[in-house]
Amino acid sequence: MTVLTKFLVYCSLFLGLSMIVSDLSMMYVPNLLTIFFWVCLLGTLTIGVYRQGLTLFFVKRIGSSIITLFIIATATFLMLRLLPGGPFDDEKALAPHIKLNIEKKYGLHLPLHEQYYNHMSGLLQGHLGYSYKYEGREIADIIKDAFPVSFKLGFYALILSFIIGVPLGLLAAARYGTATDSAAMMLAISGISLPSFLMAPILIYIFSFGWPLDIFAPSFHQNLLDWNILLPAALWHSPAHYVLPVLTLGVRPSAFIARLTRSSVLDVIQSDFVRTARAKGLSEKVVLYQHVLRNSLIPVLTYAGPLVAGILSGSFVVEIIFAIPGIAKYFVQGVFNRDYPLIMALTLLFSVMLILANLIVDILYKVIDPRIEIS
Amino acid sequence: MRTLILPALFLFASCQSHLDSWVRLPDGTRLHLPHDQTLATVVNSEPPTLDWLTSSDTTSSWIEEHLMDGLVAFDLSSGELDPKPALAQRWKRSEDGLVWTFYLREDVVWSDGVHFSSQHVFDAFHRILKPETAAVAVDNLFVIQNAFEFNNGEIQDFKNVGVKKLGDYQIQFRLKAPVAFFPLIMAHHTTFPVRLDIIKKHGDRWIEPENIVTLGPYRLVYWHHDSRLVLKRNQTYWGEKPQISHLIFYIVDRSSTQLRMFERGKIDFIKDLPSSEIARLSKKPEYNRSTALRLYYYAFKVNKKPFGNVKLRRALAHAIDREEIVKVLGSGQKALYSWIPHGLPGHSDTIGPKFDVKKAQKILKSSGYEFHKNPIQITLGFNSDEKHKRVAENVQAQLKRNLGLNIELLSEEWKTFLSGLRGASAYSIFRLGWVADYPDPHTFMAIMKGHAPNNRTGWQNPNYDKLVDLGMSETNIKKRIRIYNQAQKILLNEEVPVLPLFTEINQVLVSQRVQGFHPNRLDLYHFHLMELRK
Repeated sequence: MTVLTKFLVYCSLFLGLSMIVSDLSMMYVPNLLTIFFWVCLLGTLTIGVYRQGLTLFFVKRIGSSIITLFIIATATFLMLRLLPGGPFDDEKALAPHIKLNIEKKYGLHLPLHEQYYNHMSGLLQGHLGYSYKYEGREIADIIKDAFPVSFKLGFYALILSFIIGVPLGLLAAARYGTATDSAAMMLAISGISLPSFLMAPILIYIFSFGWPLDIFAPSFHQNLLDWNILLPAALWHSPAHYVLPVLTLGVRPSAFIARLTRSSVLDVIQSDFVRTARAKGLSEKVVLYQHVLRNSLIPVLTYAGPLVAGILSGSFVVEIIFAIPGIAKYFVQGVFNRDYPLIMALTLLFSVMLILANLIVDILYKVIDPRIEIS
Repeated sequence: MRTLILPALFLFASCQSHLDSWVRLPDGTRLHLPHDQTLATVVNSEPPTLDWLTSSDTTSSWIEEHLMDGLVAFDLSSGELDPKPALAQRWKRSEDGLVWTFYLREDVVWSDGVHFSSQHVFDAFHRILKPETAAVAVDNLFVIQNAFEFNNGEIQDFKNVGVKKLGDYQIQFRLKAPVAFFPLIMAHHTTFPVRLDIIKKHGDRWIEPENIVTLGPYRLVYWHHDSRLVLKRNQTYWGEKPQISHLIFYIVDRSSTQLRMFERGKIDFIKDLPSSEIARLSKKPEYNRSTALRLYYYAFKVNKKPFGNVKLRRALAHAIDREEIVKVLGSGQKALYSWIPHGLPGHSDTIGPKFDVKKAQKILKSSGYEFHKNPIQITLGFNSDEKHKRVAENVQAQLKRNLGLNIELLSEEWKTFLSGLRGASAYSIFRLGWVADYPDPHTFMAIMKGHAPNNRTGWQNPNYDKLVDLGMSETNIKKRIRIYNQAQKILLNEEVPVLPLFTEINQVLVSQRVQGFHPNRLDLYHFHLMELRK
């Protein structure tokens, strides 16, 4: 059993990493590899759940999630109908019979309860329906095209925020009260307070236009242009395009994580077992990395649940500024367009993400601190 | 070692920025997009569809016009936008003006090799008018006999509609009433021929690059939804083959992002410029500006207090200085007092109430309203937008200054605003605009007819309706202008349900390497008529 678990864990780690590498080098990722990765990952999770004795908990959670999703779907359906203005209102008004033709096409001429019944039974059969705005496009297709993009953007931003946030917080806590601490926290505060709609243009002007080199060192700036070393200002075609949006999206969570890590490390560092460890004569490094860090990750994880769901389903502002074909844009524009089925589907997608992320975080609690009882 | 990873990644990433000079086509092959033969431009949303019969937005139609041709085309090189032969070599109008016969070219081939014939034109009209198609932009076609009745389900048999095939290369239209500008309607994308067999075979996905069949100067070869479309020169095109071999339409929502891409040399052509940058951009050699066939106006809800009173409406019309509004906007719009905008027959600076504060005050006094004693709330509604806000604030200030009126501004989200136009709304004055489908004054005059869906004022006048119908049928341009002058007098000087404010402008940035660009009033830019400098 242990061997199998270890094998699966290493497999999913290895496959995950190789997928990232092949994505960043714009190589073609074979479908088989992707499928194998997901099988390994799910296998690891299943065995993990089983061995931690969480099967019942897991089943219960899935059950309650389905009820939650049903309530969310119903509430969204009703709230959408309460919004003033319909999907087919436009500057050019429609003759009444043309409007009726369109409503018939989408079943909107039926009484509300029948529309509700049709929609829900469609959802149960796995039909998300057709978009009203993007004529003839199935919503499942839209999600299939746009979600992976947002997922990728969010995934890299998430990795970035942990890579920056945790060490920064740890550093600040270890040097508590010194100039390093203040500097790190200053950085974090600025990261939290800089909104992405401001952050993005600043990054673009520096890394994509070479500002202020174009004013102070025009010849060097020209060199930069000739070498094609400046980053693209928008779009999402190659890894070079990923850098600025990932940075923009990752800054705020990394600052948040840094602050959380710091305060939580400071809490733990004063507890008895740390004093004991130090009294035993362990080196400061061992104390910090092996005893303190692991125990201070719990608050960070609590924050990570909703963060993962939010960041993986995209950030509207970042997607709009960098013209990234992600899902968050559809979400916001769906509301503006009153594209009912699209909003319904995306609300459900976001809810599923949130539920899943919280579930995984709950399980990770147990992994990090086996004393925790979750039920 | 670890510290090297991030910089290495950055370097690695930046070396790849040239990689988007090719795309992978649906069949797995790579299509290279050589810079010197590829023109890149940008649209500000994913085209809702590329089905030219059901689309009703400018993004879709811009791309469709590169993929398809109509029976007639606008002559974009002349300023007048006259109709010129396209799929139809010539056309004939009957004596009474009711029957139009179009003689089609016989050398046109669809991109799958099938020969084009009158059947495809007939199919297009059948399909767009069928109620089940639920096409939005059909109202221009209701001039055809029984087209309206077929579209609303009154008539089931398409044989009764005035569209008739005469052999393989002739098609005939019978109209309800004579229409002087009928060929102009035949240049619109809702009349382009269509292949029913392709639609039947692929269903809703017939517009995807692997399925779509077209006959225009370019073919759709790549469509990454919400990211970009790539068009390639059609080697079997019946007309003169375009010089530019590939077109890329990037999909970028924000005009400031578009501008950044233009300034980085990534794209060659932008239609939508951020208003805050106009002052800077207008000094550049790439900047082009032309008057648009687009009207910006305010309208009154005449059934709502206090604007049932015609004198009050007239007073307001005299109290607003359009020149001042245009100055506030500062990007070249033209102050407008007549209903027909600049650049169309029937436009005249002498029609419509002129700005005259004294007259306005006098009329207001005679209207019987005493606002100081008995204030009535007047609310001006518009949809949330920087430009609309600036116009509204200026009008608010002018009315305060010139008439002592206090009006409130109400800015609403687009769909909320539109639903307010239909039903009960808080505002009694509102903003709207109108874009011409074809370069003829009728498109503007018709929207104010009594039962026209776009007349949202609640106002109607049978004399006005009669004059507009008369103008539609009149072929003598001088007589037509006289009729429209009369109608505009009713609309603007006597009854005043609307206040035209200004004619909009089209602004584009065109890279210096593009040649043969002609600014035009319809905002139609066809890249097959342009060239790239080597």
